[in-house]
Amino acid sequence: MTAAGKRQKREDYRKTHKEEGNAELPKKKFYRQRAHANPFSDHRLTYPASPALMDWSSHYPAFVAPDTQSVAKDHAVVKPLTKPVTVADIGCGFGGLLVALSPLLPDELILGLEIRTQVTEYVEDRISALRSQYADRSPRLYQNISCLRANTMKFLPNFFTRGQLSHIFLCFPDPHFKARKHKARIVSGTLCAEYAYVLRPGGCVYTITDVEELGEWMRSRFEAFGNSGVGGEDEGGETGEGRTEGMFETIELPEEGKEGEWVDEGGQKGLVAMLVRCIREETEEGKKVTRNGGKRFVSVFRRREDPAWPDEI
Amino acid sequence: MSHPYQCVLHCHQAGQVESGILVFASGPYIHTLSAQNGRYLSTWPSLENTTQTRSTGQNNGNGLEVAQLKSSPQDDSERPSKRQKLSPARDESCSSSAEIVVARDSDNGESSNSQQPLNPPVIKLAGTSAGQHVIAVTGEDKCIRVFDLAATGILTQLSERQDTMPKRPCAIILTPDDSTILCADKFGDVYSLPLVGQVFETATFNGIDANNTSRTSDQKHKQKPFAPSATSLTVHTKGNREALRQQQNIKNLKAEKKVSNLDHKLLLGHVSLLTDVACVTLASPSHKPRNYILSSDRDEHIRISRGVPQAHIIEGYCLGHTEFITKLCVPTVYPHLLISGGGDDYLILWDWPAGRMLQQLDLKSLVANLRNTKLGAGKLFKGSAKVKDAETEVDIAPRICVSNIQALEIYTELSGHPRVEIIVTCEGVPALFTFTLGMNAQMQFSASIHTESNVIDVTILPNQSSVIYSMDTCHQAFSTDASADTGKQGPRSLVGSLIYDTDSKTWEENQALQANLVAATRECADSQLHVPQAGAAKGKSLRELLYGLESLRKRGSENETDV
Repeated sequence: MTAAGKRQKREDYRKTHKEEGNAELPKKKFYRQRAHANPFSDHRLTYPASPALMDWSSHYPAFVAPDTQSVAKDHAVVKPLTKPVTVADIGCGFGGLLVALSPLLPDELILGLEIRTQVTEYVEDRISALRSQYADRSPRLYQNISCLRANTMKFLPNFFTRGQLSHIFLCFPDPHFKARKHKARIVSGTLCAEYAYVLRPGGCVYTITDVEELGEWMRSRFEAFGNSGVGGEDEGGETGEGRTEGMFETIELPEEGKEGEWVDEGGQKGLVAMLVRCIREETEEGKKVTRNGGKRFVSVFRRREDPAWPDEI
Repeated sequence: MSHPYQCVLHCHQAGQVESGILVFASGPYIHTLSAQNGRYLSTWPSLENTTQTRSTGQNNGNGLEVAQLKSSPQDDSERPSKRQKLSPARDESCSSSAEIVVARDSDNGESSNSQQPLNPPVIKLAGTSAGQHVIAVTGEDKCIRVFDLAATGILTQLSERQDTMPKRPCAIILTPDDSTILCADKFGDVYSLPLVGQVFETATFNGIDANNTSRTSDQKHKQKPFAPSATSLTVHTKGNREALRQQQNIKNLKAEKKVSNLDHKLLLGHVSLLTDVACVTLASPSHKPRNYILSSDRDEHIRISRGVPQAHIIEGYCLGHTEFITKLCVPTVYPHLLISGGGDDYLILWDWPAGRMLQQLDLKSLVANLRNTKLGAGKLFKGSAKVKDAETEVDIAPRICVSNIQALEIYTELSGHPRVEIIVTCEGVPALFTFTLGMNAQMQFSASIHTESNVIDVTILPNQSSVIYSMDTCHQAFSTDASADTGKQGPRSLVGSLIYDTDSKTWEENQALQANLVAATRECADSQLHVPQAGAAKGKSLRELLYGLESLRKRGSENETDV
């Protein structure tokens, strides 16, 4: 089929999908897009100039604060929500994790961020279909998840304020095998600073990949961050002087298949185990790894409190 | 045709009674002039016997020590390292001015005679607060040079760090204690380098002591043979599988080349092109000083990080710009205030520790007003009124781009609190815009000072309440691409100077300094004519050197779905 014909077919499909009250789940084949995006290019992104100017009301209509006047800020009208977004799935892909997290974290607002337009659109259609499917049975379900297109490597602080997030998921990121491309990886010594900024102390970063080398890379970056430095071993990082504790601590995790026992224990440990099981089994890529009989490398890092200023020590 | 000064800098040496030294960068040359009387002092590299000093400089700087540095991390069998992008001596770009063409022709002749090409043009200058050192950055070869600045104005090169920076530096500043250079680059990273590095000395001892760490990690890296990190489980497409199969068949593939990091440390990084950095010290609740690093990027962010050694901790952001930011300015007397500008139509005044926007100050209408009054009048001579109208209508739209913001403290006898005069320049605009910043953290526009030609760079002379600015004599006023027709207007001066009159609260020409400066710059230009100028930028490359900031503006990309 010609490219033009294919595009026409996609447009027709999406149009009819929207018209039919979109209760039916969208089909992935009409939303395929090349798996890699260049994080350094400008794209044509829309993002708020600052988190205060972000209007979340269209994303979480069930959580718009009632009885409050819209707050006008610098020509933009922002309807405040009853609670802030606290969970971010960076690179959410086709949204498998979002959908799985919705019932698991019913009291949190969960946002998927994806750089590819087509895929973002799929997730938006998927969520709206799920919302209308469950509108009668359980009207709160899937109201707490949403998705938007963003380049988080550049614009994460435009969406979230300092310490706003409790959980960040980095699931099956682009491995960027070539050393020349390592700067494009979603985890780098310098980007850890931004994750630490948006994450509250005690909040966690969950990483999973099927590439062993990338898993080690991510672990070494988070463990070295604020300890042996920004850069990690081979980025020419700042060497630590008298600092032994990094900004992130690596959390002990249950083995694959044994998460249930931990979940039963409850508490913080149980929550982490539940979410780890979720990224192992519920993400689209996680399912693919299971199908192919591959391996999964999971690490979870908890953010520590900011260290004291040098003058306070 | 003399090359404009792309960078100007004022260095005041502590303990000196005189008003310090002016440092001007003209293409690859750095001239020094007295700030007291505007007299010409010296030029680096020396103009009289350029080729000779260059070659000896090569022997000192590169021949022995740098060669060792280079050879240690590299193996002969490895792939050749990435070639540096250097503009060819023969400049292909078009230039309409006859003078430029003539100059280029003579250059080609001379540069082919002398085998030693000059350095690429200097893109940034910085000076220590004590005035003892000058740091110059050349863009194309990513080289950072540190000079000792003598009271006589003679520059002596102390170090030349060429292979240390992985990307082209965009901004360079010094920490408040003058010990460390902070260098922000095109890739979004900020590095720290010791001002007076021991790199070259230690390298001559075959890297036994100070380089131990990097060397051992280097060896460790070498011992580990290359293994593809992808497996048959992680790649699925036919092409990728084939590539992986080929990689696995290669047995003795060398490990990836490591960037040598002998003396620079990574402090922080944005995923965006960095445009400026500032280092500020504030008093903490415990009354001990706290250092901060402010960094601005092309993606509208101003990041507030803690100072070294905690630069990895982000304290906040100043968000509110909608276009690239080019310049940050923190007045010394009000260190909690920040003025930022760039591709937006306005400047922003921030209470940066709180990340709070205090004021937006319109700049575009000031530029437009000036353009209308000056250019409108000028065009009446050229053509009919109709043409003028049509043109000015088009001309009103051009976007502005802030090229520099400087703060000058004005101490008046009556009150202890100084007023701050903020001087703002825009790319391709022949004017200085001044604003007054008072104690109440309110900024007010005070004057547009029209200048003869487009202003390129500006520096302040704090102890004289003066500013010195350099101008572009190669292009027409208000234009960044139209060449100036010098025949009609006669010679234009390369520099100008203004002095603040505390009584009338206005800026006036600093006549005493001005006449000497103009004479001195003529002297520089005349002597420069007799030496090869292979490194001097012309035509398009000159335009990029003088007006490189507007190109940071984002264009709406058309084919964005497939990226």
